[in-house]
Amino acid sequence: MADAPPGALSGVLVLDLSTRLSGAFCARLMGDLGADVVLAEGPEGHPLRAEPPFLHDVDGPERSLLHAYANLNKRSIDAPLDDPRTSDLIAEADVVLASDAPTVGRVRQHARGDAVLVAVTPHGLTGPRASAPGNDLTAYALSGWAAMNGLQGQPPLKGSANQVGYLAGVIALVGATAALHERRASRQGQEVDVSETEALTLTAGPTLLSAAYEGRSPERHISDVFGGPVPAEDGYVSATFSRAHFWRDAMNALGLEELAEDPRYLDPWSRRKYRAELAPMIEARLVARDRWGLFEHLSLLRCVCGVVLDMRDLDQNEHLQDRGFFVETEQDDAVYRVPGAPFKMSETPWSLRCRAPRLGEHTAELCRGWRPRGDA
Amino acid sequence: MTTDARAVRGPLEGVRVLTLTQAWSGTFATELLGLLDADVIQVEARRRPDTWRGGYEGAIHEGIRDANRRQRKWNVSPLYNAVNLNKRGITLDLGATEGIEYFRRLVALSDVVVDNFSPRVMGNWGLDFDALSALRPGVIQASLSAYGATGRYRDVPGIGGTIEPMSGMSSLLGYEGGPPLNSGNMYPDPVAGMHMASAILAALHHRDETGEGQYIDLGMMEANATFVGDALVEYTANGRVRPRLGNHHLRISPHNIYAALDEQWLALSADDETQWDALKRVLAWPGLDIPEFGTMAGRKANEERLDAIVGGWVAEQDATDAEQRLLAAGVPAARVRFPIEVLADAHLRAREFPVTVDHPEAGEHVMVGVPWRLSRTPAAVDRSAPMLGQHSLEVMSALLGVTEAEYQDLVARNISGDGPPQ
Repeated sequence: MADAPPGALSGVLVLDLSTRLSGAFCARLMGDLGADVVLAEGPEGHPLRAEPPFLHDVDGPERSLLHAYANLNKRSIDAPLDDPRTSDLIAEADVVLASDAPTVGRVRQHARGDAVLVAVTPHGLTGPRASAPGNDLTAYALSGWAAMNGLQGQPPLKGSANQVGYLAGVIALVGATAALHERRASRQGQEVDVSETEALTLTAGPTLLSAAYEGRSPERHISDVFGGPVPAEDGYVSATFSRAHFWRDAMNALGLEELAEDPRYLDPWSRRKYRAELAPMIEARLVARDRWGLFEHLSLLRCVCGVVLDMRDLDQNEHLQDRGFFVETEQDDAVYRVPGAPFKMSETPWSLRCRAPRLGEHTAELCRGWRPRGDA
Repeated sequence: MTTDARAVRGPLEGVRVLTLTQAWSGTFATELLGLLDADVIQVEARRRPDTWRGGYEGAIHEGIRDANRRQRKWNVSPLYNAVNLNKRGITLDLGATEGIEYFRRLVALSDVVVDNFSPRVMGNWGLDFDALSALRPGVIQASLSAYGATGRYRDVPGIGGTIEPMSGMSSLLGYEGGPPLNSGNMYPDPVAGMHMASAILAALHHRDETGEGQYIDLGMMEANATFVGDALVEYTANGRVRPRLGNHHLRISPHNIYAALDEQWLALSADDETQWDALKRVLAWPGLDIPEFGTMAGRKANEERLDAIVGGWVAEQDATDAEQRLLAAGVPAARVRFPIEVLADAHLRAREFPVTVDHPEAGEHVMVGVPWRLSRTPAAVDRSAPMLGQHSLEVMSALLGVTEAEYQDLVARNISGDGPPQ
């Protein structure tokens, strides 16, 4: 850890008492930014340790890949919540993460007056549903996103795994860092109550206001080139033709000159009136060409086009390699790559300081105090 | 809700953000800062207003037409108005030397400058990080683009609909056995935007501590790829490409969205044994008490059978009633809300998450509010989205000492103003 460059949150002490992905990811992101993060997880271990997938499909407290990803850049102490050692850590922390009301209550007893307490829970700490169970699935249902995702004639669709945990974690980070900024002047802490469902609902804002204008909810997508990815010769591509000149260039590039100049199709909205006849013609050209050839050809024309990358494609993507996006971590006997910096900061670069901790790995050193002796 | 009605200031009071962002992603980033009480000044050009305003031509949406209000199409777009709360809007033509000069004078009074242009654009205007830092030592420049400022795709254009496939998101979204899908509305935009807000606040913390500013380069592809981290690691560690799971979960079963009565849908899951026992009590279905369903692994292995039983029960239920019974028993459940009804939810309303915003031209609408309850310095919605150029005179006179006559001269020359260029 001594070799890592100082991060933007260098010097901030974060105590992670979370039991959900949202709080754990928020704390991890603070660690990425240079904060000193301690995961106080109790002898049973953080619940993420029990979540699949597991390294080489063998389960066990040190084998969860989700834990390995969400708990990077932390140290671990296996003290339970009601342990005096945990109380001592609470009393030292600048920021404390919690995932439930009882933990919030405990933190309130021991935290400093200038500590920032961040609670990320399924429904928030107040309101009639505050103590109801909730998860990714219910957040998608309640936010309107499940009804927006998916295809017409098929069921509503939640987002892919763990989206709400990641998303609420970043929203919580925004609230926590804003509170840290305010604290400089006031020298006072405060509580930041984040509802996972509200964090997701926030991102539905444009659709919700559009629905209010329309007086009705939008339909789900149709599975065609105007609705999302469609087959190329060797995979899937997603293309957006938008303005008239992009449409014209793209149609010419695809050998559909007769569509390029037809005035009925130049405006994106009027174009959609003809989607039933246009889509099959465009899709027939796309499926005859390879996906990267399409990407390069259309990108050169500044027409917006994307290739559907699966996890193998993503891992091998040359642009991400150019940018040094992936970093290596280790877990048990394995070394593998994980996604790195979500953004690049010129003066306080993101860094992977340490792999996810083994359960209680740092208990002994943390019992001697938050910072090892001699480490200012 | 009226302008500056806050009884108590928010945590970013005193922080000024000058932003050139358009559409959603960067605009969402700066809206989050505005909700936290930063003074966010959104800069547009009359000849190129924010694309989410929907252009100058065309009819006012009939759902909001109001003969008693002056309504201009570009000021009433639901897309623009949804993601620009708590900002002041000004117009400046940065294609004109004089426009750039006013912008530079505003930079000197700002803490953060945000854009979402292709990487070369700010430099072409003489507004790269070194230039901004010379104008305002300690400035934070935050630049958001599709693929970031370096690497082989740096000049490739992209939007939410193409970042979704390029970040791995689309490959994971979809029904089991079905094709990859994009989300219902460009989910990668707000994902990148919230990451950008966090980056800016982290940089602000560093500046608070050291006085040092910095340059932030956010590529939407990477910001979104961090949200598929566990699936990516499943490949790099285990060599397995995760298939699309629909509404299912890697571990938990049941975990699905089932059709209920009256074309409603019900999401429910049983995440542990306690919830499973509770679910069995509510369903009161003897077929669930079989050895195959005795463990989570067993239920997952027999998911199709289990879904058929649970789905058969839900099919006979009123979704609202079933949601209440399941929640009372401790089972995660939610009737699927359609967009039109999301903000009518009693729990969200009790938490004052929905806010009623009165826009001078678009009228009064209930919208999403703030995602944080801060106990001492609350975040709040206190301004509707700005109309094009609404605050040009206000901002330039208060911050730069521009007189009404000088402003009118800028309007006459299309450098500022509040409508289509003349």
